[in-house]
Amino acid sequence: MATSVVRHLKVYWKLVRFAVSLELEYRFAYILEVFVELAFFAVTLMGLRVLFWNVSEVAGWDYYELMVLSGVNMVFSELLLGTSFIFNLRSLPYKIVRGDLDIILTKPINSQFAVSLWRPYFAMVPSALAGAFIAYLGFSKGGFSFHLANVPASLLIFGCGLIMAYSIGVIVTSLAFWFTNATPLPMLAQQVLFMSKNPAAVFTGAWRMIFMTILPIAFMVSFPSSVLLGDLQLWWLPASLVLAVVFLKSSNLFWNFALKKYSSASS
Amino acid sequence: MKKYWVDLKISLANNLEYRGQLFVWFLNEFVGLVSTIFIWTAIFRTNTSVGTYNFQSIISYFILIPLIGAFTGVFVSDYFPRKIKNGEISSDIVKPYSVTGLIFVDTVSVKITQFTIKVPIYLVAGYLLANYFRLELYFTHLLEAMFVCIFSFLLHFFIDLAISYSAFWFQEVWSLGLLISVIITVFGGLAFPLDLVPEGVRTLFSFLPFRFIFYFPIKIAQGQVPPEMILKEFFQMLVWIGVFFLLCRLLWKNGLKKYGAYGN
Amino acid sequence: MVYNWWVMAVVEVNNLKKYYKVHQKEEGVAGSLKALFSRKYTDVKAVDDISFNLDEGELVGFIGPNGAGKTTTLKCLSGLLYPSAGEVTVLGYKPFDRKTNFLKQISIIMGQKNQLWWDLPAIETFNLNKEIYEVPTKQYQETLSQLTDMLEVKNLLKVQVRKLSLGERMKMELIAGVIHSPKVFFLDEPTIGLDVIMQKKLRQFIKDYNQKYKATIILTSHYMDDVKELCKRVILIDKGRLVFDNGLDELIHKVANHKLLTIALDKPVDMSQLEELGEVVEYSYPKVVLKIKREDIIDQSTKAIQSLQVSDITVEEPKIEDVIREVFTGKDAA
Repeated sequence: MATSVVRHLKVYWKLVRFAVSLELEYRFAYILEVFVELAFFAVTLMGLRVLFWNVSEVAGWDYYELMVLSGVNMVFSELLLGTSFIFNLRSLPYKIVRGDLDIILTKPINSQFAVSLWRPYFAMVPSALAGAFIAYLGFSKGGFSFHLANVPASLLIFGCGLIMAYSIGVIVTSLAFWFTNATPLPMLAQQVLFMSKNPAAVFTGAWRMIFMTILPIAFMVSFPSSVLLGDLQLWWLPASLVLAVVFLKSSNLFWNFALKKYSSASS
Repeated sequence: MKKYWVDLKISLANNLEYRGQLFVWFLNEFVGLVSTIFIWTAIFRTNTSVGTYNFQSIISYFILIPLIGAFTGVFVSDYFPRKIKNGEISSDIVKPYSVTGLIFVDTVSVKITQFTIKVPIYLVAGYLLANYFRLELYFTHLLEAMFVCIFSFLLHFFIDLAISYSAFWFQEVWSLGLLISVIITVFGGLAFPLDLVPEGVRTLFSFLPFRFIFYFPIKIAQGQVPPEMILKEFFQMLVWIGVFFLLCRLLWKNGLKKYGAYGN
Repeated sequence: MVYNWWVMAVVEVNNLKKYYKVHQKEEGVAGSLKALFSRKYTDVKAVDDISFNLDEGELVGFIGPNGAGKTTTLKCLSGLLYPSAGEVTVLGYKPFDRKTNFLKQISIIMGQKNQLWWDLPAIETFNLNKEIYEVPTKQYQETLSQLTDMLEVKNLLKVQVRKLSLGERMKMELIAGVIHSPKVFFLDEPTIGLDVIMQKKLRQFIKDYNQKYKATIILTSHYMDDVKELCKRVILIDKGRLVFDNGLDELIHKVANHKLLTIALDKPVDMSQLEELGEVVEYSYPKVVLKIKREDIIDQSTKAIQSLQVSDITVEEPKIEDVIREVFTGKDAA
């Protein structure tokens, strides 16, 4: 089991180097992509600005707190898109329909890994950095007090949130095995996961419960931001670990189930 | 002429196959709308008005977006640039009909297919939501908006076509397409209603054609545009349609010259 | 699992069946509308009770018309498909379990599908496979050296795949497919889309590889030349059923019960005269080709020499294409 993990890490390291050399090769496309990502980013900030021309707080979050949230959200979405969605999950429905999965399935490599993480996209990195910068800007301009101890806690929840988001992405995209045409399921997964850009306080009642358990988007952006802003609720730490493990395992189970369906019903 | 009709029928038959895809796209838009409703509900928990909007009017604005989008959405730039890049249009340009005309017919046929599925669902969902939030939407306004939407569609079509034709000169058309969609999101009234911005910014917006794609029809549907204003804006929209139509003609002619020069 | 050492055949297929459902759609817009609400499904028997065994080092050809079930069988053997019924064992494993140790020992190369990274030099893909299959470095270097010699591509290793010619790319695909020295090797329609020279080179490589490394190789094709040059043993599949499983020579002798008599005439003759001797396959003066039953060949040849004015006469085996076509259409079966 351990040797398998080491083997996969070695393979991933090779894939990372491939991705880097490919992006260096297509420098122009890389720069354009960075540009486009930053444009999206500008839109988010613009939306925030426009909103705050008319109100002074949203669900108990003020302008600078929301700025930090936006920054963290940027880092989150860029990392999620870059590692799994853009080159991997997004093309899965298409690969299924064309039968391109066969090459992957006959190799002694974990198929979920091969299909969801094969090619990372580093063009997302600059905008992730821009997000971190905006979070920093919001933090300092808002005059919040910085406690170093908050950082590891925030990172832990953030990392677990990323794993949860990835797992949900895999599960939703796997539904493509049941469709005969290439359906935009990855885009649907993205749309659902990007609800995480809202502060958890936006959701009340039953919805709050749902967004902390079945669809734990609260852990992805909102809670890590809260921790950085000085509001840590201790139960978030074990909860995020448990949820990350549960979701990751579920994604693996569902993926294998979907594969089995694919191998039984096609030719 | 008959050629276009047959093509339309075949397109329709093919498009209906994609029921799974249509459903997923619907879910996609629905989730987006739900997310927006969540935010604005939260905002209005502690505010009674945002700009000139109260809770009802802001919610009705965002609910109208998918409905208007069903009319004005285009996707030529999703597939046509690749055809130019791969030299696949060679067989089309020697045939005795206009390639632009064919693209138009294909787009319309897809839209009609989408209508037969989307519009009833959106109308029902919209009606239920309107009831739930006690929104004030009048049928006459909706009809006026839909009429205007036909022209919004034309405008959006020619903008998208112009983007597609840039493939004759430019490899990375996808980036241009994304950039324009970002611009439309901001300046078209998709991300936020355009009248939430202060006066100065608003005049900037009035120099651009993008508000006609979403903002203008939505405000008409909300019944918030006085008749003289509708006429004035409508006239401006027609001018913009003309501008982009001519731009497309220009790009197509020059693009073909360049295309031929490469021995395609 | 315990049986691995005891298994006699490398590949064992027992009563393999693979069925799947397709939905049927009616024509036109009305049909599409109907299909939105209800769909009719029918069962397709892609593989319908096939059994055979292969020993180590065998090079076998799976022949059949399109849709016969060749590719489906291969996919069942490589673990891509789950059998509907029956048993499949390869190297002692059930392919569908997709165990890592099983996958490390097999390889599948499918005609039109590539695994090489397009914008990188081929050697990078080989290195990647080295990591994936955990090939020891020494073995990797040796195998790479031998393969690049066999295929004469040593100087192209550092060239980006997209810059290679089709033939060079095909060779690199082969190396990528066998760099981990698989014991069992599946080739699905490998010569499709290649020109005659490349087809020959590919066949030569497969033959050499089989002889040198003793790998068990299954090749599917609908090109007769692939079979003729490579396979001593041929498995004929049609409509999901095994129609023939034996040597190529047996196929010709057993199934085709005629031989071809080719005559070069000195003087033109009437068709009726030729028809008395046997079935006229071709008559374009001075060449005549007659189809004559095996047992009658000596008599009829003698008759031909006596009754006609003949400058040359040859007796040949029938063409494989014709033999196989006859098997599938049921004509002239022994």
